[in-house]
Amino acid sequence: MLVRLHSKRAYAVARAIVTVHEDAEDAVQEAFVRAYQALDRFNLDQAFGPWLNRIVANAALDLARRRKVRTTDELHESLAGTFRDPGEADELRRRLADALTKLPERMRSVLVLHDIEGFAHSEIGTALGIPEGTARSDLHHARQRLRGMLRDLRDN
Amino acid sequence: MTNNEIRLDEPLPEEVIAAGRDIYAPPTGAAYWSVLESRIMARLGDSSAGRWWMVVGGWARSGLVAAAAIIVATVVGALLLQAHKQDVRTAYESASQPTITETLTVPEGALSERDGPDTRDATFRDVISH
Repeated sequence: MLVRLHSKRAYAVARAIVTVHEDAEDAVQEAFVRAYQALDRFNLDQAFGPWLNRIVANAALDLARRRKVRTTDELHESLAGTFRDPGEADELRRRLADALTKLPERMRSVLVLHDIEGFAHSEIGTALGIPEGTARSDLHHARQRLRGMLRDLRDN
Repeated sequence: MTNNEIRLDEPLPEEVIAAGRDIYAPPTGAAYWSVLESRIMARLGDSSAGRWWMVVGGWARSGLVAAAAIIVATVVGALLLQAHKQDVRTAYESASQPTITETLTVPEGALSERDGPDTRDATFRDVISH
């Protein structure tokens, strides 16, 4: 029941960090196992979702660290390749996927969680273990960098 | 505030956000999530552990409250029992200790044969009550 209730949100958190679908899936599974093992440390006065999201984020970050050997090209391929449609090349989507892989990991996670998944700054701060102000700052810098990388596309 | 700062606070263009949602779209279809849930439950261990995981949210809070109530009741009961035993022991010792013989030293003849046991008991109770 708890798994079904929280798995989609957990997937969104994991995917924002690891970017690759298969890795996000692994991180979600690992996170639920960790949450189960740590259940005796769960404070009943707090909400379960944010607590789980923090565990998901940690599991995803651990996975991302193990995947560091992956080159930028491989990451780009896995991020954009899944959604490539040879029939109608989506320039914006390809360029965005490319730009996202060039952002630092935490900036990308904050931007994806906020602008794409609709998380609040406080939720992002809790999940990633950073102050809310840092999440806001990361978001602004991520947007700035993204605008810069997509500027020519926008001008066209 | 400069124009540049205003731009930084602006959200990304809608078409960029839409493209991002395409890229990060989660799998659709209930079947995928059911399979994922099954895989998670399998990793959580045997079926009893899985069932425990599913129901734990429901009874954990009430179970903890009940356990706390039992502990408090046990401690209070033990303290009351201890106090009661102490009262009984004190009363027994008060009635049986010879220290009261000093108090009972009364002038000779004050308790005569004609006073009888009832009078002596009454005097005894009167003395120890002070």
